[in-house]
Amino acid sequence: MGRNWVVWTVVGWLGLVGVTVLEIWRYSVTAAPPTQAPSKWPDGAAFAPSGRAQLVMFVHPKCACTVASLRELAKLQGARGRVDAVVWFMVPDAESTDFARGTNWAIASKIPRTEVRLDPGAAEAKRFGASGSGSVLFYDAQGMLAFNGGITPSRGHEGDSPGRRDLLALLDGKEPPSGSTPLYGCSLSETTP
Amino acid sequence: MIFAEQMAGHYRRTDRVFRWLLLLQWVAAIGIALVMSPLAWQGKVATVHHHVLVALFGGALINSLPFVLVAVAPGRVVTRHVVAIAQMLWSALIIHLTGGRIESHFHIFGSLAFIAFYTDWRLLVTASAMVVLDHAVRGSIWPESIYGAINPEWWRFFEHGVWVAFEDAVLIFGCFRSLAEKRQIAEQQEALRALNANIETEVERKTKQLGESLGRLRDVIATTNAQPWEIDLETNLFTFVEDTETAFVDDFVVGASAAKLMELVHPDDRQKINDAMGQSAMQTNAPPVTVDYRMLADAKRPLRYVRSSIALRRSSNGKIVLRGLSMDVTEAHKLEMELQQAQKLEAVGRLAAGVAHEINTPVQFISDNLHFLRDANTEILRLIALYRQSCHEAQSGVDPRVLGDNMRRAEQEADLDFLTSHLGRAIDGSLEGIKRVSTITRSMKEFAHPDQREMTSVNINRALESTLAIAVNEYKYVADVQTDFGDIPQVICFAGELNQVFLNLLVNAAHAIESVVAKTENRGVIRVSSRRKGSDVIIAIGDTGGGIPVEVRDKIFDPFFTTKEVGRGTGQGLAIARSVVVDKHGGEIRFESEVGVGTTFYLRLPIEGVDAARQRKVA
Repeated sequence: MGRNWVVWTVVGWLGLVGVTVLEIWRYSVTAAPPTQAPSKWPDGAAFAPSGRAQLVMFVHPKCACTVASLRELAKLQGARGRVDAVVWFMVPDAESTDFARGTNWAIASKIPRTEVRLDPGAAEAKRFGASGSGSVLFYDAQGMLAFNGGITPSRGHEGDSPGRRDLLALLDGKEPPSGSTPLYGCSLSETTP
Repeated sequence: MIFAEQMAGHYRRTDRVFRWLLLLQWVAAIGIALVMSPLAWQGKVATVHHHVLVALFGGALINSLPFVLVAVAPGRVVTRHVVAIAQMLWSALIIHLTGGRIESHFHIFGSLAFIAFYTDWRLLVTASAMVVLDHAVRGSIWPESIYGAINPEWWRFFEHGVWVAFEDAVLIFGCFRSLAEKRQIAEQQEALRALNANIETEVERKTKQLGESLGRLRDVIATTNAQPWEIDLETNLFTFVEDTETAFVDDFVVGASAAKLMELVHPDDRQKINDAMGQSAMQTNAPPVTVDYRMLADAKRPLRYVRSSIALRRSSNGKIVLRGLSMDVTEAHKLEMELQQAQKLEAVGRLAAGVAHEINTPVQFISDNLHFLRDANTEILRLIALYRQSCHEAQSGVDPRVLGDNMRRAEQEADLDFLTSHLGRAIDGSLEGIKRVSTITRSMKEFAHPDQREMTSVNINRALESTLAIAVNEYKYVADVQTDFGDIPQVICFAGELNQVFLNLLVNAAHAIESVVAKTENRGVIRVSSRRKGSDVIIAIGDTGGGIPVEVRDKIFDPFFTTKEVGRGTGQGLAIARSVVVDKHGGEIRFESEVGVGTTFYLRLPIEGVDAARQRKVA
């Protein structure tokens, strides 16, 4: 009887652990709402397209999961930078620019060929339809949207992802396999889950 | 058994260590979550990040069962397997909380090494199985989290497996080595424990034996009032004195000076003790030397007789010591003296009848002779009176022939021829009788010396003759005596005691011959001889009795041993003989015997006395 109790207790415990693992997995792979990005460089953007391919990333300064996205961007840019990139750091209304400073800012500032800008009130993010932190938009030299989505495999995890593969393909002048990928990051506004 | 005990203790201790390790990882996980991903954001609204909740509650879940099992069942197999599973779950959680950092994957290999602390290789199998399961399940549904790639190659699973297997192999080998060493150490401890147990048992047994021996010794000492002691020959101080209730001398304690205590010994006996100590000091582990001496009287005690056995020994610390046992034998000595006296009186009593007879015989014929002489005197006086009357009548003219006839008739009536022929004989016989009585009484007087306290110079041949004279009634009916007295000087001795010895030997010889010649017409022979040999005198008293049987020859000098029927002997004669000759005179008594032929006893006495003999021996 005692032995059975032990066995069932261990089994129960492992079951609960399994349930927890599933919950962790669910959270990790639950994507943020997709970005409703304009198919063409929007008018009124903070800067006009340069006639070259342009990568835009929208970041919540304090989103921990976005660290992985920024590190993936750094890997993509390599040592010299492969594409013109700008990372918009949203600053909520009534918050100072200090809100944007932090780990994410420090990482982004070091990425080659990548400009870091403040986005007060997430105005640019709204213009480009970005709702989640880590959202990446790739516009080709003609200003047409070629990629929209996240570049991490799951929340806060670096590594191979469909987003990374799409961007690598675009940087190589090829067609992206997906074109749109799940995004894992915090919401840029209070109204977006 | 020791190995199982040790391993059980080892498992329990390792369980407790892992309890702390799991707790530490829980705290670390919460810390990692709070540092790396403390909050989740929606615009400017922050909530607790999922990672923090996972670290807190997920970590609590991981640790829950191991903590319970370590508390209620430490050291059990299920406990450590659950701990191993929990440890690998921590690897997965920490990797997740750190965002899959490569560095965090080292936790897996570190965890396997920690689990190897148990030295139970099966736990490594369990832990590795967890890794395999995780890889299999997550690898199929979420490969990016395992391999960092969306479509990992099929062999990536095996690649990861090989690394884990490699470390497992090394750790399992280490476990077996460690177990083998622990087992060997445990076996050695088991052997040592058994040896210690044996030693303890043996020590306990020996201690008990020693205690019993000591108890017996103490009881013997208490019963006999013997006092064991030990003297350190370097310091001449007593290093051990058994504490008995009745010490026969004051100040007989550890640390007392042997020289000081010697002053309490009778001056005449001090040399004896020194000689005995000297004799025993000639050889370590030689048999003890026994010496009798007297302790002077003091305010509390009268003169005491003490017997000590002394032996030279080597003590446990290598020192040469004199060990001895001393007993107050005053009572024994008194009894011995009384016994000797009683034996003497017994001999005298036994001989009394014989002596009385020896005296009575000559006295009888002296009396007869005197009666004859008286009667003869009467007749002769009557005849003399008749002769006078005849002379007167002859002068008066009476016929001489008539007177002559009358005288002749009177002479015939008086039987004058008989009287004249026997008168001389009667006188000689009487004189001879008186001489015999005189000899016997003189012999008795010489034999029955009062107890002498001093040795005197004695004519041994005269002593033998005297003893033969008073013992004549013992042997005259069964044996003839042959003497061969040599030209020997006088001997310094205790005359009375030696006479007693001679008497005992002569009586024994007579009895031995009597047992052979009884109811026959035969007579035996008693041979008594004396001669000088160097500084000693040798006296031999032999008989033609039945000889001494071989089986009793080593007992004949034992007190109270006798082969004679009840009433004929008390068994004290030869024991006293040995005591007198050997102990008191420093001489020697031995015998030669042949069954059916006879026995001869040889006494060797130092001419100059016992002191001179002992000095010669020590020299």
